[in-house]
Amino acid sequence: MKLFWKIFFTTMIVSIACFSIGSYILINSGFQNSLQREVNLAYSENDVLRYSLNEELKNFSETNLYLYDRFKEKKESLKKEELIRGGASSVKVYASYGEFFFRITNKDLKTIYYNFNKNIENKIISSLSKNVKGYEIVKADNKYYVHAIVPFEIDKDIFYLENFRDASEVFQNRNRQYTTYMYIIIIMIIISMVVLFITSWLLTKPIYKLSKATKQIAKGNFKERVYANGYEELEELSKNFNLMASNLNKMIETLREANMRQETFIGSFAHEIKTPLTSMIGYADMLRSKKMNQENVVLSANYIFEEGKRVEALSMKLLEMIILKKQDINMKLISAKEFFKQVKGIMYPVLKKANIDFTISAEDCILKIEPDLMKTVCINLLDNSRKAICNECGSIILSGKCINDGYLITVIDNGKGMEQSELSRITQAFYMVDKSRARVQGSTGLGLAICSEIVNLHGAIMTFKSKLNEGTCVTIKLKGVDDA
Amino acid sequence: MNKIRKYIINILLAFVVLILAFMPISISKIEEKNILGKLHTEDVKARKPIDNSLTSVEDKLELVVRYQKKDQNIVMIEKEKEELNDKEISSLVIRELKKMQTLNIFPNISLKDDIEIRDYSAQIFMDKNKPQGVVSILNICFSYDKYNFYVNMDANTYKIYEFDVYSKYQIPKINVSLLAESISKYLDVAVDKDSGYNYYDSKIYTLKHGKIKYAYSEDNNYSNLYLLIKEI
Repeated sequence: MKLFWKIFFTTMIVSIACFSIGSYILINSGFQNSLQREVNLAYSENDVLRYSLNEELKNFSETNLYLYDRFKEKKESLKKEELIRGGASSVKVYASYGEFFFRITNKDLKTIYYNFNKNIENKIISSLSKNVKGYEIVKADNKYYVHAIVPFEIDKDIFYLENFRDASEVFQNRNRQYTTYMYIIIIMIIISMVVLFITSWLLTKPIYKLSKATKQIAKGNFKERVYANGYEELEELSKNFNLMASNLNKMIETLREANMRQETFIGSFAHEIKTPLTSMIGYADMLRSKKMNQENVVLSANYIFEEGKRVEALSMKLLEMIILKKQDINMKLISAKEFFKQVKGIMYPVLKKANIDFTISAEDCILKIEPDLMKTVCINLLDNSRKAICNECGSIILSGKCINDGYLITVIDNGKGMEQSELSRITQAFYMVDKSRARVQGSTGLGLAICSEIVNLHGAIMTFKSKLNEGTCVTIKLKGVDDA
Repeated sequence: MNKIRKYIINILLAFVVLILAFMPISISKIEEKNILGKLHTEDVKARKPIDNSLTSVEDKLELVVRYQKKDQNIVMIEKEKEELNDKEISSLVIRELKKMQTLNIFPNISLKDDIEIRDYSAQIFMDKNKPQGVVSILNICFSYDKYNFYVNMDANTYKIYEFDVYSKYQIPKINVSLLAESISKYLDVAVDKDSGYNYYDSKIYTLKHGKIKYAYSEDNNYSNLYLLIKEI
């Protein structure tokens, strides 16, 4: 069931139920009160009738009422019932609304006198006794009467005085109230339907919008957004939905890029493997199929060996990179001067041989690093700088500087530099700025990718600045001892 | 199938709304059937005896006026027969009228005991909510000489509360300026100080701070003192 109909019917049922129950209680309590008042009045009228009758029958005794024996001698011979009939016929009681209707019945349910020509039974008298009075509501000729019966005693004989009070007005009033209620409830249902239809539509409209947008996102349209106004909660929901869509979009973009990088990596890897293998297969085929002199055999074998070594180096580097990605490194405290001294010890002979001016200036400080891994980074960067220098007066500066929140390692060279567009890709695996030259120099295209992984493991940041034909500057910002 | 089920649920809910809306009417019809013919009983409580002496003249007059003003709580019991005979009644009426003449309430007409009672009846006025206090009134219609009389007399104290006398001959007039004092003396009631004002051709006298109004009017052929019902 749709939320729209749920809101519509729930509100409708609750409001109509409350109104109908409330109206019923109100009308019914009013009706019961009016009816009870009519019953009390009927009893009062009965009292008045009995008083009047007693006045007429003063020669008979009635319990606790007027003892009167003035006419006793005269009336003794007459039957009591005839006397009662005679007395009752001379009694007429009027109120502003008309004459009182009454009936006198004996204990055998025989009617002695009546001034009321309606066929109303008196069987209920059998349920009454000398000290018990009662009433019932009866309907005769489309009129409602309170039929009150009170016993009275004349010379030890019980008689019942029944009077009939017209209570039709009470029932008519109730019917009029229910008719009014019916009109009100019909109008209320119509108005409620219209109001609730609009309200439910307004409430569920933003949800429909959200649903539509969700469908669009499910289809891959991550740029779909929702704008729900009017209700704070729905505005919040739409805001959060838009935030979710935006983050999802970013995440998808990141995943797409990662996927692309992976594809590029696999492509590059296949290509890097294929090149030496092609050479090796070619030379091996020559050795197998041709008769060659000793010198050419040695030369071919040497080529196969060299290329095999390159594939081995490549696989080692890849292994190193995979291991790095899964590794938890063990940080150690080391003096910056000591670290740079060790780097210099490794790189100085190589750079001197390449006739490069190598300068180290390091401010002393305690570093919290994995020394071997960080040494790999520095060596890689210095080796890259060496490879980038092709002129006679090349120079490389390795510097270390203490800063407020860490330590800054900088490698600057005056090599051939690179385009700005290349900078974002140089840390990708197998990416080489000048592939042919890099291969000649024995590069695998994995050095900076490994450096990048190591720097990430240290929680450090590596940035590149380069200008074509002017040189490159690589900066590594290490965290401070306390932060690391 | 699912769509049909949804439609059925919606239709059922609409029926629930309608059932709830018309439920009170249906319940009232059922209740009405249960109310009809159902006996409710209670013990008869001891009745308080009715004592006329407890009722003052003002209260008696007020009861009569309230009945005439169609107060639903006041009932009037009309009795065709009364224990007094014509002779007894005529002597009582003449006695009271003479008393009224001496007090200047009734026109100075010569009255004797041989009046002809044309008709009389008794009326008892009673408050249903307070049946202890009742007033019994005798309505007497009689003729004497060339005059016709109609008087309302208290059946217990025999005081005449209202009278009307008319004739085709001249009826002597009373001293209206002394009427307020005379009524006060005769009925033993306090007439309001600001009463005795004119209303059309009548003089109005009020008792009980205006709750009871007496009107007296006279002409050559009639003279009457009666309780005024309408508000002025």
